[in-house]
Parts: sequence; structure tokens; C-alpha cells
Amino acid sequence: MKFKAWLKTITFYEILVGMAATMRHLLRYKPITLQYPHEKRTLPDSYRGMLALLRYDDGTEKCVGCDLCEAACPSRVIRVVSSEVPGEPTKRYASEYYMDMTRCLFCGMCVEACPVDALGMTREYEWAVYDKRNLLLNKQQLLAIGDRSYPVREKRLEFQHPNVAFFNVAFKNLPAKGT
Amino acid sequence: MHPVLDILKDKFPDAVLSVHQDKDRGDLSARVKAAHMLEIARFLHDDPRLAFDHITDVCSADYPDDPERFEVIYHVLSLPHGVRLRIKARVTEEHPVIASVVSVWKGAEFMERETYDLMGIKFSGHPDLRRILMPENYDEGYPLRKDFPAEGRGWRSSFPFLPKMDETAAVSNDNEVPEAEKQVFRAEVGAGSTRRTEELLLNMGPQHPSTHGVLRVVLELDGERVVKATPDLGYLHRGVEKLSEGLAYMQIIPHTDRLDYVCSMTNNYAYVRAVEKLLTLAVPERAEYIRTVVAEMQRIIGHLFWLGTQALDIGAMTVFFWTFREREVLLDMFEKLCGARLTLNYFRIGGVDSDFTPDLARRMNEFLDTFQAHINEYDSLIANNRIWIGRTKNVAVISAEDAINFGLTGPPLRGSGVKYDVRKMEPYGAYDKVEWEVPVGKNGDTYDRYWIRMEEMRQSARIIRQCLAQMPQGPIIADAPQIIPPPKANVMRDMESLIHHFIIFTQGFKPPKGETYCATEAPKGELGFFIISDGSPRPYRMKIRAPSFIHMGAFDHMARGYLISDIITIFGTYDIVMGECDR
Repeated sequence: MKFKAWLKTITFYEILVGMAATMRHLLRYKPITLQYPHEKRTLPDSYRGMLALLRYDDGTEKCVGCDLCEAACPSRVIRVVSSEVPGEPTKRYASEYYMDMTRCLFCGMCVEACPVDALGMTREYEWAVYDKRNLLLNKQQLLAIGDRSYPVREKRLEFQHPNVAFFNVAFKNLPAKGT
Repeated sequence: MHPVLDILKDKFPDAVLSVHQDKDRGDLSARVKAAHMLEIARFLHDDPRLAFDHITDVCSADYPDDPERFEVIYHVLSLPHGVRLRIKARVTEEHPVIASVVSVWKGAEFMERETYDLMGIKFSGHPDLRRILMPENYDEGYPLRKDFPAEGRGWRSSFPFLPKMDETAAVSNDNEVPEAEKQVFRAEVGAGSTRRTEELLLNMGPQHPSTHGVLRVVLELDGERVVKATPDLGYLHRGVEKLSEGLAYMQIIPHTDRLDYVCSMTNNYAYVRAVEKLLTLAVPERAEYIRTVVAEMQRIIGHLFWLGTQALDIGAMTVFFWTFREREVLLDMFEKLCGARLTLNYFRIGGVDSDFTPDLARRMNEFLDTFQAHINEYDSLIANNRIWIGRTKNVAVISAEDAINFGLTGPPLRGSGVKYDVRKMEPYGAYDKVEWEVPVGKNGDTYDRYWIRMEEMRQSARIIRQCLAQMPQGPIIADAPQIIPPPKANVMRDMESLIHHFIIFTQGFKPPKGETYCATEAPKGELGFFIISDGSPRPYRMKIRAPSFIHMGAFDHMARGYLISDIITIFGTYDIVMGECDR
């Protein structure tokens, strides 16, 4: 036993074992590194990247300005100013919508909280900027991200429901009061 | 009544004010008079019927309306009997002084310093009571007090310790630090060598690459030998505990990702388990299995990360590339599972976010098929390598008694031969349904800890394989409409779900009044969350028992007498992550 250990010491046995492992890798060389800016990984659909505001298939914004994303956000990224849709007193929308992406944790809580699926997480991740004030995004910018990342849009919520007639009570079609 | 509480009450009829056994959660707690704390601590430690030899945590809570405003809370653990006990003592605002228990448990030193730093409670008889996380000249107050605003006092630009960007830097020609400031880093007379004529103070970090973050250590040197090593923590302090007092229980989960950013799954798990224990909420079986699988995946990732970086620090480069190659495979799986690679936010209170699909199970099994060979490959590179052995054998040795006394957990404790693993002692998840073993070392040196981490990776692979085979079908999140948001598909379909959805996301849920400590075995050690709830939707106080922080308390003890180059090994031996250490 002692002789064996001595023999291993003088022959640098453990170094040889290590070198053999290295050599095996050298012969079966298969690079796993991606040349990043030139090659890019395909990300899964569930990837939690840049946030975006979405639209329905008729181009109207999904957001109803309910402030639930603001309440759910753990780091106070979102600010929503909600107002009535002009001419439709029963409908509301977000007239202003800001996201301070410098603070965002990309946790997806706002997306989970949104009752009408108006928010989405995209697969965009290259959002490094030189001036961090550029990361305070307004509604137009967020909608633009949504437009380029979600080309397939949903139908309006009213039309998604199996009992369309129940939801499809468009108040503007009702006769005005007093007539 | 639990026998421990009986013994305590019989021995100290006057000093123990009340004892309590939580029926739902099983926590034992005792309220004692602050004046008798040291006496009681010594009795708890020395009495063989109790043998509370391991200090888990020291923390404090602030009750501004109470005449005795501050509560100092000690969590102790009896390793021989496997019992946890919480001891609470109240002190007043005018005289916030309590006797230090450092003479009983040496590990209490850092914990008491933290309590002093963040709550302003003074520990009489503490050897070195200084601020630890906040800057030393911070005079804005004590951040965890309830009257301290969460935003902090004043703007960043008005803090005197931050450099002003619009002013020219002060020119100082004398580089010599005043003697009085050096004094805290000096060893007591008689420590170390007798031949020294002059000792040298060497500043290591915070920008040293081997410190894995921002950690500064002031070394007192005698030649190349370390006489005293004083860690200076807090460069990455973000006040997660203070932040979480202003957040609903659900919103804290993404913040726990950022504690130990190498192993965020286990942080999520530890936090979510603590909340579930507080709520006494049962989790579906499938969710328990998924949680076990992902926690063990995260353990493999954490240990691979440790192995790669530790070998890189010591000087072996190849291991680093190879371990990161395997880590990448697992991270890709996480990405598929929850959409992120590092800050995962996968756990939910009552279950998990998304299902572990059969496709992922297949990928996992494929990975495990080759993983055994990969571990053997790392072993072939370094296990017998004479440089690796020379750099790790008999470096950072700590005896079992000392390791327990310092409150070490995880691989640093098991390396010294103590068979303590939370997964075995208080089984959670699916750990009691699968077969696995706890590896323990003999010598308590870095090589043993290396061996333990390698062995733990093999055991993790074993656990995952069994879990994947046994995983039952079923829901992945508990059915508790008061606590858990309804499925998204129902929200715009039925009114009740919509109402629950709005209430849970705007107000959060309200757990019952109470407090609980819940420990989870993270790759670094025992990660515990102590939550005090006052019945509101936000935690009244949340304390994170971060293993990295507590391991740093033993750093001086373990570093004395070694060479400067060994300091790097000793950093690495704890598998320290500063995000968790400084919180």
C-alpha cells in the first residue's frame, strides 16, 4: 500500500489522470459557448423579459386602468392614471401609464395580477441604455413593445365568452335616457 | 406542556415570566426577564436534559406602544434532542441593555452586533459591540425601529459618508489611519506569535476578486501569518427585512430571490414554507414533490457553482468551465420552467407557479444519466491532485464543538462530523418519502467540506430521480380562496373569482396573529425565516437567518494562524454569498 502511494507520488499519477480527462475533452471538442451578439439563444415562450402593454385585435388597448398591477408590484415600478373613455361613461382606460424599468425585478407579479391580460412579458432582454432616464417608459413605448412582440392579438374580451350575448351589452347602443 | 418548558419553569420560577407551546405550529417559546438572560442561557446550554448547544439566531422586535419597547428574541436549538426553543426578553427604550450571551454561544457575537446595529439594543459584556451592516459612522438612528422611515432619513446626497459627485475630492496627504481607528482590528495581546516585533494591518477587499462580492477583511499579520481577521460586512446591505415590513406576503417572494442570488429557489422555498407554517396551510402532494425536485436542482447548481469558483480561486481553471457547463443545462431547465434563470420567483404561497411538465422530467432524467460521470470527472481532476490537497487539507479546521458553538450549519458543520441536516431532522417536502443519506466529514477542514458537497450532489441526484419516479398527479397549488388567487382563466369568467382576485392583489391576505420560525436546508446551510404577524397583511417583523452571515462570525476563529493565501480558501469554504450575508 505504502509502495503504491509512493509510486503514485513519483509518477504524478493524479496529474496524469487529470490530464487524461482534459485530453478526452480536447479530442471530443464540442463548444457550448454561444458567440453572443452574433448568435442568440432561442428563449422559451414563458421567458420573463421586458414588459409590454397589449392590444386587442381591433387595435384598442386592453388596459382598463384598474391599478391592480400598481398594487401588486413589489418595487413600485408602475404608475397608472386612469380615466373614463370619452363618451362611454361605463368604460375606463389608462390615460397615462409609466414604468420605471430601472427598478423592475422582472418577477411577473403585474402580469399575474392583471385581470384582463393587458400586460405581457416579452422575450426582449437587450435593454441596456447609456442614460437611465431612458428606462422610464410611457404608455406609447410600452404599447410599441407589445406590438412588435405580440403579433397575434386576442379577440375582445366580450367576444371571447361563450355566451357572447350576455356580455355584449354595448351601452352606446342603448337608447338614451328619457326618450 | 413540553418537558423543556417544564424544566425551565421549575428551575427559574421567578425569571421565566411565561411559557408557551404553539399548538398548530409546534414552536416552543418562553418569555424571561432580561436581567436573568445570561443565567438562563448558561443553564440552557449546560444542562444535559436541555443541551441547547446551537445558537440559531438572535434578533429583536420593536413594539413602540409597549412600556417595555424592545423584545430581544433568541432562537436556540438542541442538537442532541432535536428541539428548538425561542426565548424572548423585553427591555425598555430608556435602558435598552441586556447581558450578552457571547460567553455561552460564541456565534452570538455577530448576531448581537447586528441586533445592536439595526435596533439599538446594547449588549453588556459583548467583546466588540460595533455597527456591522450599516456604516460605522452612521448616525441617523437604528433602521429597524418602527419610527425609522423605510425610505431612510434624508436624501442620498446629504449623507456625509457618500462622496459628493459635484465636489472635488478632499486632498489628503497623510495616508496614516489614526491609531484609535486601527485598534478594533488588533488582536488582544498575547495572541499569535511571540517573536513579532511589529504587526501589519492589511486591508483585503472590498474589491478583491476572491471575496465573491463585496467583503472587506482587515487582517493583522505577523509576517505572512494571520493573527486576527476582522470581517467588515454590510457593503451590500439593502435592508430586505425593513423593506418586507412594507410589502404584502406575496410581494416578498421576488425579494427573497435576491438574498442568495446563486440559489434563489431555496430562498423562495424557505420563505414560502415559513409563511405556510404561519398560516398552517397544507400544500398538495404534487407541489411538494415539485418543490423538492427544484430545490435539489438548485442545490446541485449551488454546489457546482461553489466547486467551480473555489477551484478557480485556488488556481484550477478547468473545473470552473466544466461545472458551469452542467450548471447551464439546469439553468436552461429553470428558464423553461419559470421564465428566468437566476431570479426565479417560482414558488407561490400554497404551491408552485407552473407545472413540472413531462418534457422537463425527461430532460432532467437525461441530465441525471450523465451527471454521475461528470462528478467523477471533476473528482479525477482535483480529488487527488497534490496542489488541491495541499491547499485544502488542514485548512480552516474547526472542531465539532466549536462549529456547534459558533452556530454553523450546512456543509461547514457537517464537515466537522456533526450529522445535522434540517431535511433529516425536520423533514419537509418529499424528503421523508425518498431514500438518501447525510454525508459527514471527519477532520472539519476544507477538503472534507469539498467531499461533502460532492457527495451531496450525488445524493441530490438520487433524490431527484426518486421524486420524478414517484411524483403523483394532481393540483400544484392549494385550494384556499382566502389566501391564493384564483386561476387566471376564471378571473374574467365568474364574479366571485374576480372579487377574490382583486382583494388578494390589493389588500393581500391576513394571516393569524402569531410568530413562527421555520428553517430550511439551503445549499449554504440552514436558512431560516422568523416572521411575526400582527394580523395585518404585512409582516410585522421578518428576520432572515442567513447562513453566510453566521458563518462569517466564525471567520476570525478559523483564519487565525493561517497564511494570507489560505484566507481565500477560508472564504470559499463557507460558500459565502454576500447578497445573503448583508441582506
